[in-house]
Amino acid sequence: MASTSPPTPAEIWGYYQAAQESFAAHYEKLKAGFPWATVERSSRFFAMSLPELDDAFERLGEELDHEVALALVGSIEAIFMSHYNSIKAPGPQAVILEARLWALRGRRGDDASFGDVLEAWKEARPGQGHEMGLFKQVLQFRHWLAHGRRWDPLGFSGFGVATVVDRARRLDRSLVPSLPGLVGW
Amino acid sequence: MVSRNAWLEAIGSLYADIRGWLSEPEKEGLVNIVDADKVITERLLGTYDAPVLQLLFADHQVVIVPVARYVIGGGGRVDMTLGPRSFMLIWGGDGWQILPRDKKGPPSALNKDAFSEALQVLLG
Repeated sequence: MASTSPPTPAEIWGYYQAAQESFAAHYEKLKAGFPWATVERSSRFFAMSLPELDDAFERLGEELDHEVALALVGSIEAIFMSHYNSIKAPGPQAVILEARLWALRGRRGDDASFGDVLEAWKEARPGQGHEMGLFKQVLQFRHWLAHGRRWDPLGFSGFGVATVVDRARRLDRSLVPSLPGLVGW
Repeated sequence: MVSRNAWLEAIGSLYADIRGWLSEPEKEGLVNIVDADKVITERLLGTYDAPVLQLLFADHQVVIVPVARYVIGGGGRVDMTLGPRSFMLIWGGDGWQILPRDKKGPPSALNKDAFSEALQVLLG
């Protein structure tokens, strides 16, 4: 039975690595056994030529990367938004971040977007601006993925899982306090 | 290892069958069969010219084009295509089979009836 808790970045990263390993193993098996590798006639790979096989696995890899990038940014959003939703009314000892997030809750409540929350973090920690700006480009990439990739990916062509991981790690290093589970996987 | 010549002979035999199956429609002017060729490069066979058949109907053009002698599963493959629709003709060394490119149907022995049925699907 599927878990009802949202997937963490670590779980998605693990899925990505396992899927890549599975792709590579199947690709190598088909290629090493070419053309007499045993496949069912209903297999997607049956009757493929070598160039078609190479092309098919290249596209599978690209698609996996896009889908995992989308899921990964979503799981990072879940961490930020869960933290945002857990913010309590700040007392006199509250740090600027809590005060900013609480103010945002007052203005937007549950309607605050991920972008709004990141902006509140940026306002509370002006030194994080550069990393936050880099991560916001990842959000544009996620937006493009989530809406059917129907326009030119200007500004983020070539983005993928590696970009998401790199920018999430840079963002995490700049965050005070860090958010548990954001990276470290 | 099957030689390049054996593969080209198998294609030639396939095309002879197709020409025979289309002889009546061709006489009636419903289809015009045009020869062409393409260059194929395969790791196991090198580079060679392979014959292509173009079936010109009033509004459509079906192309019958060899893909490779060696494909996964061990057969040779010729595709029969019109736009996004396509059938694969698979050579097993002792005859041809036909199946939809999307593999949603089972393979069947290629004969006049199976060929005509595939052509009907392609021509919509």
